Parts: sequence; C-alpha cells; structure tokens
Amino acid sequence: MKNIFLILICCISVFSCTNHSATIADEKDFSSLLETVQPNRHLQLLEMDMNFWNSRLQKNNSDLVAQVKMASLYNRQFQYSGNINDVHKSDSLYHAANNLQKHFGSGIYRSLAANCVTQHQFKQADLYLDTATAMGDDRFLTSLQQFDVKLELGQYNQAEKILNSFRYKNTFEYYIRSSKLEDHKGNAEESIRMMEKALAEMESAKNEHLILWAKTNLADMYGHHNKVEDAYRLYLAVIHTDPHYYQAWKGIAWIAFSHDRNTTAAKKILGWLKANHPVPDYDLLLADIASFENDLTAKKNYINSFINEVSKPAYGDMYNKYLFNLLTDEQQNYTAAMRIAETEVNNRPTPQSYDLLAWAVFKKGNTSEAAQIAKAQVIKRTFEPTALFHTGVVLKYNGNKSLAKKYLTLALESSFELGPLVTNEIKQELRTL
Amino acid sequence: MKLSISLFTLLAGGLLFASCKKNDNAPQTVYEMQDQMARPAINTVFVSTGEKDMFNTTIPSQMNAAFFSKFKTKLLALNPGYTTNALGQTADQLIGLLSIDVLNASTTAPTTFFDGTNILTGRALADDVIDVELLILFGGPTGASNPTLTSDNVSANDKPFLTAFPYLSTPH
Repeated sequence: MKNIFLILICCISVFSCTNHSATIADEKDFSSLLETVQPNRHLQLLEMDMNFWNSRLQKNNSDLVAQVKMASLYNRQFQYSGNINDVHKSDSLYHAANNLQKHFGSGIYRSLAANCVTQHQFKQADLYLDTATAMGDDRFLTSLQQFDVKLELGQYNQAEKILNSFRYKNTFEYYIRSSKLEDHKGNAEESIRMMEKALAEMESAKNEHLILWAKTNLADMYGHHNKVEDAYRLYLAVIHTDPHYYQAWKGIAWIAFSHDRNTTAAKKILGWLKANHPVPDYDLLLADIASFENDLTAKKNYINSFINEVSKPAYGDMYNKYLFNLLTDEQQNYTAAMRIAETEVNNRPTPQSYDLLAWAVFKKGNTSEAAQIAKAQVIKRTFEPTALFHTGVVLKYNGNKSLAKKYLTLALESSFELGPLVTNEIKQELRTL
Repeated sequence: MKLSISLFTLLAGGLLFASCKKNDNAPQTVYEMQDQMARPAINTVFVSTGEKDMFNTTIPSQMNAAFFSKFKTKLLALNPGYTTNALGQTADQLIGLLSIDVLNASTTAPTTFFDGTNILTGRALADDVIDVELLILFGGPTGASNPTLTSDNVSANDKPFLTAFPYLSTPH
C-alpha cells in the first residue's frame, strides 16, 4: 500500500514536472501557415479603396470627403505596413480636411487624437480631445478616448471618473477600459474577468475584427499572469482565423522563446513577421534570442539595426522605453538614457516613467536618490514586472535587503513576461542578496 | 448588449428602453437612440455642434419645443432679409416645418422632395435636395432672391443611377 502511494506521488510529481516544462508552442500547429504564401486580403482591400479615393483627390485635392477617407485609410494601412510615414500622411490629410470640418463636428479632432496616441504624443492627444469635448457633439466617443489618454498620462483618478460616468456598465467599451484600469491597480483576476466579458460581448455580436482584438489582448493578459497554455490557445485561434494578425504571432514567438526556449521556432516566426510587417520591434526580440544563444555578433547587429531605425525623427518618442533599456542595459550610455527618462516623465508622469528615471539615476551611480524616486513615485503605484525588477535592484544596493527581496521575488513571478534573460538577472540578484 | 439603431419616424414613439431580463445571466439588451437623420443637411446646418448629441436623442414629437427658437435664430443669422419663401411660408412656418426633422412619405402623391407641385412627399435618388433647401431658405417669395446662394451648382450625380437594386451607381 505504501509503495503504491509512493509510486503515485512519483507519478504525480513527474507528471506535474513534465507538464510544467512541456513545449506549448508546437510548430505543427502553425508551421503550415508560415510556409504557404497567404496574400493579405486586408491590404488588398485597402489598396482598392486607396486607389479609388486617391483618384478623387487627383481630380480635386481639396475634396473634403476624399481627404478624410484617405486619412483614415493611411491610418489603417499603418497597422499592416508598419511604415510610420503612413501616420504622418494621415495626419496632414486630417489637418487639411479639418479646416472646414471643424465648423460642423469634432470627429477629426478624435481622429487626430488617435494618431497622436499611435505616436505616443499623449499630451497633444489630450488637447485635441479637450477641443472635441468643448465642441460637444458625440461626447461619448470623445470620453472613450479621453479615458485611454488619461490612463497613459498617469491621471488615474480622472480616468476612473470618466469610466464611472459611462451610463451602461455592460458594454464592450466599458469592459475593456475597466479591464485596463484593474490591470493598472494590480487586480489581475478582475482585469482578466473584464476582458473575458468583453470577448463574450463581441462573440455574441459576431464582430469578427473585435473578437480577434479581444482574444489577442486576453491572451497577452493570460501570459502576464502565467496562464501560458490559455494564452497560446487564444493566439492560435486568432492566427487560424486571420494569418495576418501580427500581434498574435508575436505572442506565439514569445511563448516559443520565453516558455519553451525553442529559439528555432521563435526565429522562424519572427523572420516571417519581419517580411510581412516591417516594424522595428522584431529586431529587439531577435537580439534577445541571439543573446540567449550567445551569438553576440547577431545580437549586436539586431540592436544596431533597431537603434538606427527608431532614432529617425519620424518615430518621435514612440520607442523611448525600448531605446532606454538598450542604452542602460546594453550600451552603458547613461547620459542619453537620462535624457530619455526625463522626456518620458515630462510626456507622461506615470510610475513607469519614474521607474525609468530611477533606473537611469541608479545606473549613473546615485543609488540613494534612485531609491528615493522609487519610494516616492514607483513603489505601490505600478505592478509592472520591469518596474518591480528595477525597484528590487535599486533597493538592494541601497541596503534595503528585505524590501529588495520582496520586489525581486514579485518580479520573478512574471518571469514568462520578462523573458529568460531578465529572469536570470533577477535570480542572480537574489542569490547575491 | 447594446444595439445602435437609426431612428426612423415610425420608431419614435418611445422605444428608448426595451430591456428583457429572462434570467440574471443572460445579456441585457438595451435599445438606445443614438442618431437621427431625415432631411439632408438640416441637422448639419441648423444644430450647433454642442447640441448635436441632444438633437440626435430628441424624439421628433419633442423637437419643435426644444429647437424652434434655436432654428429660427440660425435662419435669421444665415438670411437676415428673410420674409417668405416660394412656398409662401413665413419664418415661423418654415421653422415649424424644419425643426421637426422627419422625412415625410406620402402613400398617394408621387415620391419627390419637390417637383414644382408636390413638396416633401418623399425623396427620390435623383432629387436635387440641397438646391430645394437653398431655394426655400434664400430664394425669397419668387425664388429669385440671393441668386448666388440658391444652388450648389451640382445638378446631377456624376454617374447615372441604376434601374434595379441597389439603384445607386457603383463607386466613382
């Protein structure tokens, strides 16, 4: 009897062990999608629409309707092209059209605000939305975007006030924003529950586009909270519905790398993504993978290619956070990093921006000032894993060992999200604590 | 689940909330009036941006009470010399008509926005609706006043309409 019990225990532990380390992202599930050439039907439709409205603009370049349509099409094209100039073209068409349209409605101010958000110009977005609010038409649409911008600006109380002002609290619009706010507060379960409700809403409305959006966001959230298999299941469903849903592919690549340590699969996906959706982001991930594989030449090439691209003026402040991480952790250029941190604090004084500032100050050697910034502006204000990691390290070298252990341990709980490299750093810091 | 509905005249009679609660788990269906569109350009021109949301959620039976004086102010701002129009309407009569923004449909008379005889008995695709509106706003009693303001100078669609469904011509 005792033996059976022992065998049972062994079986369970072996099972749970294999279960934990088992590969989740099985290439059989998706490799056929990567190999067959899938024309992007969204781009084909966009191109047809753009040709049509462009021909109208050719005839009359002040055709208001054509200007607004083209502006919106350029914005949508950016989602696939990744070409930042599409956003700039969209902006200038909206500005041209708004000279007249601002006398009739606030719609273009909302579109301009949305373009600002894409470009991380949150203060300017806020100003456009203030104008739209003052004009007074379609106030509900304005308030939806206002919530999103207030959250980015770190004005959490105002965001919550806007959310509470929504008359109906059982709508997709409410659920997704409530989910974001709960996530900021660190209420993971409630945040996930809200996004699940948002998905259910769209499934009952049969809104294909927003179903994919909600599934991908929900998958990201499952990943943040270590429900990696649930995340994978959703990502997989998304790419099988729309093989050109890049965010879901990126999620699968991350699972292959961060959870499965299957760098071959991750690189295959990222190569496909780079070919289909040329944004700088993928180089960053490829650099991480190269670093994990100890391929330092490849790592350096990816990092240089990323920095060269995102340093172009066209990107503005869009990639500040990533540039900051490279400047501090890879290039030891703390002066440039400090400038970015200050810009971010000025652009949006969120706990995450102050985390960058504290980290730059720490890297420059001023540990006690860094700890002060962390205590005043970061601790208990954000639960974002990178901030927890930075806070733990700063506190450690400031002599607050027990708090350091607390934050490093908390960060370690998000090792899937942080990836293998940062996870190793955290373990190292904990070992030497 | 919320369903957006465009409000047509026949729906106006208080279909603001129709919620059904079969059980607590079933999604609650809420109908909410969000927009209304009847005669072209009237909402656009006569309602200020700050009052668009209110206008769009006001049912037609209450529009006159809420918007009559505002529409009249706007009319006299646009055309300070308004006396009567080609239909013989005083400012109050014209605004009484326009401030209830519905699209009439006659079951007996020919469908037209204005054909010289029938007025607002419906709206056909080829009707020059903007010119008709400009004429009754700016044309004075004979239709000859303010000649530069009584036409948008677009007299027909760029491309012929179709004779069968969907009747509208292909995008052009």
